[in-house]
Amino acid sequence: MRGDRGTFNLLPVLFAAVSATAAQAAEPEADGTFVMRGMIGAEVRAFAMRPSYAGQDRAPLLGSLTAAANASWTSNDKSVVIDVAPFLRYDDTDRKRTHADLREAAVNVYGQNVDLRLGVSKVYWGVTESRHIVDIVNQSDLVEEPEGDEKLGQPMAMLRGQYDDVEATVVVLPLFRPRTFPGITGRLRMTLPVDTGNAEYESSARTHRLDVAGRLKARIDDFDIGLTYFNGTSREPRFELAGATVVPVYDVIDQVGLDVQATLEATLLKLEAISRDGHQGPGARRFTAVVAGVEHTLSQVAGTNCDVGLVLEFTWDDRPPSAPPTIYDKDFFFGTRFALNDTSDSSGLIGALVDLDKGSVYAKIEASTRLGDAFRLDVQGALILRAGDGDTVLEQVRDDSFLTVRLLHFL
Amino acid sequence: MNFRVVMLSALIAASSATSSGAAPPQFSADPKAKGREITAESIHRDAGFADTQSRMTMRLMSESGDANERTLRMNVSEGASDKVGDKSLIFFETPKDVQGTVLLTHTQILTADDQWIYIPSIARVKRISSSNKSGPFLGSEFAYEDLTAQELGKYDYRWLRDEPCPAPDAALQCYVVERVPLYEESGYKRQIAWIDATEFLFRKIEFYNREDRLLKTLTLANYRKHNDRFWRPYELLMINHQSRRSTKLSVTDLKFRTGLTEVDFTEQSMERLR
Repeated sequence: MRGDRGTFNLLPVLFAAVSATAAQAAEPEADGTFVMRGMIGAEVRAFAMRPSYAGQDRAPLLGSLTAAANASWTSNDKSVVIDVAPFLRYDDTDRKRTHADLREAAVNVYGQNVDLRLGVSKVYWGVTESRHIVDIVNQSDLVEEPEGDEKLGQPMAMLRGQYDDVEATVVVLPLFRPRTFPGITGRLRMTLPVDTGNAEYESSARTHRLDVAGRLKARIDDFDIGLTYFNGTSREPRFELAGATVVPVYDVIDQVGLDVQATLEATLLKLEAISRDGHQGPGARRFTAVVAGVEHTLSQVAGTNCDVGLVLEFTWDDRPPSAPPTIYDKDFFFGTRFALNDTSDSSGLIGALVDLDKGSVYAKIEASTRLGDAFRLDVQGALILRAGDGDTVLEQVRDDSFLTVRLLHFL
Repeated sequence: MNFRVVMLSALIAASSATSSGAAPPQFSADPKAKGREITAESIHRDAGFADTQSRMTMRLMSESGDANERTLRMNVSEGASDKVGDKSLIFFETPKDVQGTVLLTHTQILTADDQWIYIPSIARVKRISSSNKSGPFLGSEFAYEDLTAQELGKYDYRWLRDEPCPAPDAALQCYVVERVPLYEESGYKRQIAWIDATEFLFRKIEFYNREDRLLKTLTLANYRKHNDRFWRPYELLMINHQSRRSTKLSVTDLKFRTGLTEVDFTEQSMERLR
C-alpha cells in the first residue's frame, strides 16, 4: 500500500507542473477547444465454481461500478493538447479492486515532425493479439482484468520525431507504478495473498528510478518494423515467499524487442520477439520470448455483412522458473474475431490458448454491442478448461472461470 | 474510403468563371471512348482542390423507419499527381462509444490502399487490411468502394444515351454512362451513372450486384460551389432496394484549401485529434 500511496501523491504535483507549462505555452490564444466526455458502468461477474481459498467471497455473482472521464483541451493552432482522464472503480467485495487511477494527465506539444508529451499517459507498442511482450511502458492494472491488458497511467516525458516513414521515440519514466493485484477476498488471485505494501525493488531508488525506453519504427511498403529498448524496473514482478504471503519483487531489467507486421491484402503476418536480462533469483539468466502468427479476414461471410477474422499465433518463452511466471511458455492461440457490421457495431472474439507441454487449455470470449445511442453492452468470459500439471499460473485460478456482463453508459 | 469519393466523386465542375466561353467538350462517337471521356471531364474539372475539411452526419434508416445517427469529421488531401492517390482521415464524433476513433486511408492507384485505425481507449494505432472493398462502412448502406476516390482507371466505361437528369434536376440534360469495376473484389457487376452535361456533376448512380440485380441507388443533391470552382453535393442518399434500408449523408460544414499538409495524414497525426 505504501508504494501505491506514494505514487498517488506525486501525480497531482506532476500534473500541476505540466498544467503550468501548458498554460504558459497557450497564453497567446487562451480559448482553444474543450471536449469532455464521461462514462459510467455497472458490471456483474459470475463464477461457475466455488472459490479455492479461505477468505475469498463465496457469492457466485459479484458486482462492481466504474466511472471514467476524459477532458481534452486543444489550442487554436492545434499545437498544444492537454488530456486529463481519471478512472474509478468501486468493487462490492474486493477492497483492492476498489481503486482510482489517473489514466491520462498530460500536455502534448506538437511540431511539424516532432512531438513532446509530459505527464501521465499511455504508450502502446506491438502488433500481436494473444500476448503483448514488446509493450513495456505502462504497468498492468491487473485488478481490472486478469490478462493485464488494462494499463495504469505512467508518468513520462516522451519525445518523438518522424521523417518520412521512419519514427523515433524516446521515453523517460521517472516514477514506477507497482502492479495492482486482487485482494484476499477477491477472485482470480494467487494462492497466497500478495503483500503489495512490502514490495521489494532491486533499485535502491525503489519506485523513483529513472527508467528509459526507446523505439525506432520504419514502414517499408507492406512491412512495419519496430525495434525497442527498455532499461528500467520490470513491469512484471517475481514473487518471493514471505510467511503466509508472497511479496512482489521488481528487478531492474534490460530488454530489446522486435515487432514486425506484414499487411498483405486480407492477411496479416505478425511477429514480436524480446530478449531480456536482469531478473535475479536462482538460475537467473537472459531469456527470449517470441510470438508469431497470422490473421486472415474473410469478408461478407455467407452473403451476410459479417466479417470473420481467423487468428493463429504461436508463443514461446524460455524464461527460467525463477523469472516472473507466465502462462505463455509454449502455446498455440486459435481465435475467431467477428464483426457484424450492423448499426450497433457488434463485434467479438472467441479464442483458446493451448499449452503444448503442460496440456492446459484456456478459452476466452469477448462480445460487445451498442444499445441505443449512449449505451454499450460488453460480455467477457474466461474458461479455464484444464490447468495442466506444473502450470503454476493457471493452477492457482483453476476454479475462477468467469463471465462478466457490463453495461456502460456514455455521457 | 475517401469520401472525396462520394462527396467529391461526383466529380465536379469548373465554374462559369473558369469555363464560360469555353467550347463544350467534343466527345468521340464510339460509346466506350465517349463514356470514358465524359467521366474524365468530370474528374478533370475537380483537379486542384488541394484539401478539404468537412463535418457530416450519417443517418441510417431501417425499413421500419428507425433511425441511427453518427457524426464524422473528415480531412482530405489531394494526391500531388495522377500517380499519387488522395489521403483521407476520418474522425468519429458520435456515437459516443466510438468517439475519438480515427480512420486514415492512403489511396493507391494500382495496389491496395494503406489503412490505419486509431483506438483511443488503448492508445493504439493498428495498420489494417483494406481489401474488404464491398463491406459496409459503419453499418451504413455505403460500401467502402462507394466511398473511395474515383480514379479513372478503376472502371471500363460505355456511354448509353442522353436524357433529362433525374428529378429534381430534370431541367438539365444528363449523359448516362455505364461503368464496370476493374478492381478485384468489387461487390458490383456494373454501375450506371447520370452525369449532367452542364457542370459534369454526378446526379445519380445505380449499383448492380454480382447477379446483375439492382441493389442500390445513390442520389447526389444540393450541390454547392466552393472557391468559385469546386462543386460538392451536400446531401447523398443511398437506398438499398433489397434490404429496404437507406443512409443519408449530410454535409454540415465544408472548407477548401485549409492548408493541410502531409504531416496531417500520418500515423502520428491520428493521435493528435480530440
